[in-house]
Amino acid sequence: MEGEVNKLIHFKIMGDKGAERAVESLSMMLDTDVNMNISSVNMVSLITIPDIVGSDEVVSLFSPFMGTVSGSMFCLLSPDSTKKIASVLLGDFDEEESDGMFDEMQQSAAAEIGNIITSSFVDVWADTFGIELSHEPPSFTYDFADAIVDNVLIEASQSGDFVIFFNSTLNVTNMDIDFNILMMPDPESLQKVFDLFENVEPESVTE
Amino acid sequence: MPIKIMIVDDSQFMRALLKKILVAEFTVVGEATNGIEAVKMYEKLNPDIVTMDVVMPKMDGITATSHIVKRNPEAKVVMCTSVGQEEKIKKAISAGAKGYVNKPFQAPKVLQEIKSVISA
Repeated sequence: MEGEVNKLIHFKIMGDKGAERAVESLSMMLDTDVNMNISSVNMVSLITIPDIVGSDEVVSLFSPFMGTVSGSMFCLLSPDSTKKIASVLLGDFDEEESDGMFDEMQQSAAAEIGNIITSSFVDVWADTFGIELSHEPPSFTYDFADAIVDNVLIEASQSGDFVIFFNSTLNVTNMDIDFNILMMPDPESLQKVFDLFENVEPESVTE
Repeated sequence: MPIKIMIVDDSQFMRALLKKILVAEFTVVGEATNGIEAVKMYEKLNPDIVTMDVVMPKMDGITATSHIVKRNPEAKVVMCTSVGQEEKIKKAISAGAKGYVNKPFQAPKVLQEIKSVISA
């Protein structure tokens, strides 16, 4: 039990560091103050995600990562939060006509946010453990949470895996954007991550 | 004679952002969304300079740069990298990139780096 708590504490610290890096990049890009907070971290089964985030339609920004450890990372946002963050990024870009909920530019802008967050988290893992990691650009999906989870399971070619669930909030230009970050190492990689925790000095996680 | 520039990035948003920064001083002659498209477009358009994203589907920016430079050793390619991608910058320079700018883009830095590569 104590071991599990320690792992979650490590994940929380690394999540906070990832958030710090993401804030730095987002502030530069948007040229405004950005705050990001990770209120909690849990390890949960992927199939329980719709129960946690609600089974309504959500936006998923899905990005596989690979290297010494491999897996997938994705951000889940409500449609409202996605519209808000896209509007901040797009500013005075011309709006496109679209039949769907999100036009291509909004999807691309939201994916860029996903890219920054994924890069920040993946880089923190790589630096902390001294390993090589890279990731693919995020893909944008708008669907019901159940369908998103099914797709993630298909894309990851796995079932019943655990995800590290970061409950997060972003504040940009006085707008609160709720979203969740999920990291899902492949099963053999998850064990590798736990082994890496054993070998890493506590100060390299906390510094 | 206007300087012809080609933008390579898989993100529509990033291409639009770069174009917005660049059009004030350069002529954007083409936009490619992956490395394979970039190599073909470079041969067709022969731009003076290319901005190249690193992480892209189908073919990444480092591989595309090496193909372009193999065909034209004088090609000027500026890599667009995220902070923390120092290893990728080294690989890109080895592949023949002449400079790099960090994402998220800051307009003055982008313009300064591109001008410096053009005048080198």
